[in-house]
Amino acid sequence: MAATFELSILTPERAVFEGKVEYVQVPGSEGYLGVLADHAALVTALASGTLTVRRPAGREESWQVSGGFFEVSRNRATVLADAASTVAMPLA
Amino acid sequence: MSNLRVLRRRIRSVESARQITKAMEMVAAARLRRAQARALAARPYAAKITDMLGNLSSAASELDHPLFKAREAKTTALVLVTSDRGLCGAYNSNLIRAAEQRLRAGAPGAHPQAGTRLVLVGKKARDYFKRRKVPVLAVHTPVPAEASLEFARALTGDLIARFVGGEVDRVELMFTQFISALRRRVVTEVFLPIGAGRAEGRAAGGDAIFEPDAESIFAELLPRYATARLFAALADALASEQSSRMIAMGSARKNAGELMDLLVLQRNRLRQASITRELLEIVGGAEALK
Repeated sequence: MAATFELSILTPERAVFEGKVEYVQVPGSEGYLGVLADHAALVTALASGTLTVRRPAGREESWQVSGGFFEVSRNRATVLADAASTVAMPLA
Repeated sequence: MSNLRVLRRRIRSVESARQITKAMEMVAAARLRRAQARALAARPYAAKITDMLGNLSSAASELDHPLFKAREAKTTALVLVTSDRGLCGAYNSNLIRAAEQRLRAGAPGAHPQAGTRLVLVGKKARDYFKRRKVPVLAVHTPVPAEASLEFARALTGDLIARFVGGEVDRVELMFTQFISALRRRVVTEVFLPIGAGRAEGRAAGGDAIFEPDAESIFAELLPRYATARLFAALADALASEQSSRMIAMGSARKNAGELMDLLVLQRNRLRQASITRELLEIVGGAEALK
């Protein structure tokens, strides 16, 4: 099983997601970037786009986010999004 | 007999006042629960963004931004957050009184000729200062019934524009802080410039990678931090308003209930007196016929 890390997705109004994930892909201001467990400390601004996480069971979830920040430090990742809405996953 | 009729009419009116205040109390209680949940839900973001600001400003101390720079406070904008609706006890009058005191006293430790200008939120403050012909910088109303991010963004944008444009050198927020359903108090916080001193970082982010770079993240972070703070203040103000209304309506209901008891007692006494009197008249009449 792949290593996991803690991820929180927060908007000014509420916490959208809180839990362990294996992988997260965020729309950074300089392009999409993916983060796995034990990533180096990082702070980046976000652009508008789709944020995807892979949970331990292999299940993927996506949100549409618009602007904000993404921070990783000591195996804790935080997304501070201006707004986040769930994306309907296409049936696999 | 007209006395009895007057009493009955009075009982009816007190009874309906009691029912209305009871209904308003219950509505306020429900809204308070929602407002509290909303204020609570906003906390993780506010905590995290404060944390990030602290990390960032301790990681790179040479960061420079107009929103961060303290100027000599010649003109201070005082943002007074009141409500649109009344019937909430002393909620608005407490705020207005505090604002008037502040206007008379001036900002603590400010420039001798420092002026304080008002930015009003809510119809109650607007009406009050309009009646007294006090000039104000801006009025923001109506206030959404639930803490709204759009409203907080618009207000923050307006304040930042006035601050950066040099119209005001300092912005303070005066609002009602929600402590518990029974306790709240009027507080004043410096909103702009954003104080670096308050946000003390863990200094752990010192070696973090910044993308694109610390300066541009900083520039993006500051307005959002301001919005989050204003949103939190609005959420607190709304929760305070509802709790204040709930308590005011609760005591109004109790008073109406007590008055009802008194009036009902009086009515029963009057009715009994008239029955007794009629009986005595009948008995007296019968006796006289013997």
